[in-house]
Amino acid sequence: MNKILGIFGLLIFVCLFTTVLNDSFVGQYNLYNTTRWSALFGILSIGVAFVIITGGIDLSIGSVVGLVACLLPMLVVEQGYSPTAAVLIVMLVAGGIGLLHGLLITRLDLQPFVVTLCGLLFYRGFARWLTDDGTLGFGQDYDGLRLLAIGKPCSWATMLFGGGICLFLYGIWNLGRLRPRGDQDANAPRQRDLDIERTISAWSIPAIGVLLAVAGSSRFWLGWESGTGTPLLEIAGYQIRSLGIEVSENAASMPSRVMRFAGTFLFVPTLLAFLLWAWQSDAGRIKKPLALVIGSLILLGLCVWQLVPLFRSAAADDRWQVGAMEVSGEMLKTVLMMIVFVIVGGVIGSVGWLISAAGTASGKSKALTPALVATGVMALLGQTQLAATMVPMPMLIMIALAIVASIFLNRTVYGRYLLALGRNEEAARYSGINTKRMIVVAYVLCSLAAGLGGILFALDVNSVQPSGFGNFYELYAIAAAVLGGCSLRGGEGNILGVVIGAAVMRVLYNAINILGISTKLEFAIIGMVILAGAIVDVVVKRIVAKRAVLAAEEAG
Amino acid sequence: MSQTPGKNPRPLLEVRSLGKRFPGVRALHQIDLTLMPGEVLALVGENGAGKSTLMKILAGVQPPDEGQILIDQKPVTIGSVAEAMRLGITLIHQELNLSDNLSVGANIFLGREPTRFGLIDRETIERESRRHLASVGLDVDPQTLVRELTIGRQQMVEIAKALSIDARVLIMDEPTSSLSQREAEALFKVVQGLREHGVSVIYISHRLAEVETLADRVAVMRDGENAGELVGDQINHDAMVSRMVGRDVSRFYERTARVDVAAPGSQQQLTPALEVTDLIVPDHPKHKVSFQVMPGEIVGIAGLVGAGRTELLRCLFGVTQPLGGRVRINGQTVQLRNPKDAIASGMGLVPEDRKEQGLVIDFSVRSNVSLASLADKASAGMWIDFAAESEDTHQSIHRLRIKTPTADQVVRYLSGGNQQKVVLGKWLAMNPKILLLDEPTRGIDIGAKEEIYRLMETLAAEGLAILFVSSEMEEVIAMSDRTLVMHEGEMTGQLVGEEIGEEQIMNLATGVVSR
Repeated sequence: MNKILGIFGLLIFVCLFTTVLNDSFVGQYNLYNTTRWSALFGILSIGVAFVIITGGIDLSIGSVVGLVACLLPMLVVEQGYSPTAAVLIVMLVAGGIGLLHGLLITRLDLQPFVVTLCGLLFYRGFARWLTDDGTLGFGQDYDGLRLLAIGKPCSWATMLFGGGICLFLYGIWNLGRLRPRGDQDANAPRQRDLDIERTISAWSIPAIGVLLAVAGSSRFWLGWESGTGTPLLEIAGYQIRSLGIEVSENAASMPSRVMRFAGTFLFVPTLLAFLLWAWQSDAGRIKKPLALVIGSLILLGLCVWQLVPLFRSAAADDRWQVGAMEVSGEMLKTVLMMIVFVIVGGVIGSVGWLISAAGTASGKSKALTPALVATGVMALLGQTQLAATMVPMPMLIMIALAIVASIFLNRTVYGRYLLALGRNEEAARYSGINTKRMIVVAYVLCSLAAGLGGILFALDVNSVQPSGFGNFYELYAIAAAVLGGCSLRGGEGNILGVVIGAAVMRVLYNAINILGISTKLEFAIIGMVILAGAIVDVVVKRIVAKRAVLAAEEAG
Repeated sequence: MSQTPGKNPRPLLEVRSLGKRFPGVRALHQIDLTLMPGEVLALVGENGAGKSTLMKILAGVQPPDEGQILIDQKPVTIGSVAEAMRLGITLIHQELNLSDNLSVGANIFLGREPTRFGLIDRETIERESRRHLASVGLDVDPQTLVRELTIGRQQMVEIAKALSIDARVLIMDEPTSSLSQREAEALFKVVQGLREHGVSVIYISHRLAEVETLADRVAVMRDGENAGELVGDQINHDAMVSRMVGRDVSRFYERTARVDVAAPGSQQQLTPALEVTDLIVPDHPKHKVSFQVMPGEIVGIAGLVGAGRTELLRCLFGVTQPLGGRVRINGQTVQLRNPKDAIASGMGLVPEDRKEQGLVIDFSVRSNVSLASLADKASAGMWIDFAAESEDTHQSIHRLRIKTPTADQVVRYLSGGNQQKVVLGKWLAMNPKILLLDEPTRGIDIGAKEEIYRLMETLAAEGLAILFVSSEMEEVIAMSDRTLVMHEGEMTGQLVGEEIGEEQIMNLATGVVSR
């Protein structure tokens, strides 16, 4: 979890840094493109994460993307297959490729690097031969199919609202499963800590859901308040815009009342967690985090009340004098936003720390901290014009895929088996796991994801050159997975981190373009950032290991 | 003895109140040790007594936490293996450290190859290697690849390598553990020769007979502390053992009750939990193995290293495929194609190598305990039942008294005994009918050992059939209702009740007698 927090922090930092230097980064056009590309690469990265988790590697992804991207227009445009059939066929081809890789690796004991390196060369060459190196595309006739890649189904505000509702419902359902463990001694201090932690984490899920839903919908409320319409009409307005019909943008980008709303709602889980904690903690361990929380709360309050008037007048006059510099209101708001983000993050982070300091180092309450931080940031982002930006269709596909992949990895037996065999294949086999079959599954999943990515890339770009389409994509995907917390030694990785890792890669790439840095430096900068990430990771791991040693010694 | 007191009374190497801690274990505490020039000092102690740790510190593999090391009465710090070598200390590991893809000569000069005009000087390597090999009585061409030599000869190469860097202190960690009798005798001769040349040898061995013939002096260690020293005539088996164990051998763990389910009369009513008939283990294709284990019975398998005991268990557990024979579980013939089949038919294996085969060492206690039973308890065959997982984990922690801060602690940071309990917990979570234990108490401290013994007894009393392999004679004698003895892949005999004794086992284990 620390890892996700770290990579998420990096993403936020790069975004804010770029915004401060050039605010066209947060322009709707740029945001839309960046999220679209992040999603496309995210799909590839989720796939390769499974292979990396088993301790393997897949170098053929880029070539599979290229092959699929050639096959799809060939089948649809030249052979006249129906789009559905064509998509099914190319996915079968991709799955078959993964199956082949998996079988070669497990049955013949070939090394993954070798097998997929040969794949990289073979599929590329095969695609070029198949198409005679000619450029392919869908022309203008297949816009329905192309909507898969270039559709804009809804705005981010709607996403936040919908996601919040889903999370709320899930949380309520999850609460029903919370039952006390019968055989435990309820009076044992550690057991009580654990029970309270479980309660806090269980309740926090619906709370976070409500918060997100409120954040997503607060723009509607605002519209209602200023008399331009009712929430329902606003929702309809979003729908209309998502169908491509323009409606006027009436909401100010950072309205003061909403800031107050967000502030209020951020206090709720904070206060809840604080009270629960105070009820059960012993006094000795609390002083430092307590001081931090109170300090942060005061700062947050100050911020909200101090900054609000600024925002209000910023909307009236868009130029601001800061020292000797004249800046635009939009930019000033961004900087102020940044400060608020940091403080809100601090508050939420220290609440999480409080919980884990008061209880024990249970996995779930650790997960709570980044979840709360993310919620806070989302809630604030929901108030900016980012919320009015449209969500690209690949992003929806990627989110759906990420949820499924995450459930597969963390909630099913098979996911656990993949993690176990990645760390220690022999011990996994001795525990009765069919490790060979699981490895094959991982390669199939990876190639399927590459196939899906290939389809979307082809539909998006609409002009496929067999010799270069998808070149190096495997390296981007691997880099994103590594940045997102996968270890090439195997056994480590989580989907959320990988997705964020892919986003970091794209945002970096975008930042280099937008900030006018020579694109010749592109690879150098991305390489350095990944290296820095790897170094930080190693350092953090050492600290964690040291702590675990101490904890084990304490227990005897 | 070549060491003549008075001629050179100054110790070559001195260790003063050395201490070393590992997570959860105090490996060494206040250790003192002296080594005279040209002396063979034997270091004995049970597994986990700290011998290997002490030697690793002397050889610069690990730094000590406290204490002092003196060479020629000057304090030194040994920060690395290279530094130890410069000081004249060389460690010959239990597992040999040769690059088996290189030639003998290349290995001897690895890392300090003589050069001529910037290129490796093959002639010098050849000439010098021959000289050093001759001094250990090894007649092989320096250009032979190491992997073509037997283990015994590889060991000689290691010694030749040590001599080539003018080692003054040669540390040998269990050098005979994988040698044949003839090879071992050749090694003893070399050690005698070294002593005459003024080289000091620290000799670590479990084979006390070797120590009796070879050592000038014996230092005994127990639980990471000094446990006495024996010189000259004092060196005998019983004296060493009583110091190693720290009490009379007879007071080793005592079982509360023994069952004799194999006795005539009771046999008819019971179906054996495990019945093996003419099983041919692939590692020893010449022999057929047959035996049975009754429910509630603890059966020990004794034998020397390489007797094929681990291979037998691995074959029973489906890791390797038998070349013939039949396995019945509760009267049902079963096909064990892989560990999954074995587990499905109610078997659990606590393997010899806990870190490689028993545990996913970077997983939490929780994930390790649930690993084997996860699929059984999953709903719809795939959704992990997290509540059951938690319950099993807490039950294991409670029942096996696993000392861990939380259920989510990564097992890497637990002590050896607690790690072994996690492995046991994994199998108990799936309610096995037969438990195979391979060296269940290797490398864990005395307290945890006794807990594991007690657990074995409780489980047997609950009707579990237990088959365990152990190289610790006392353990086999104390724990088994029946003892099977193996020698080079062959089941050489079976001992029941009062027959189970050290002498009888050794006779069968060395192949002297067979029945």
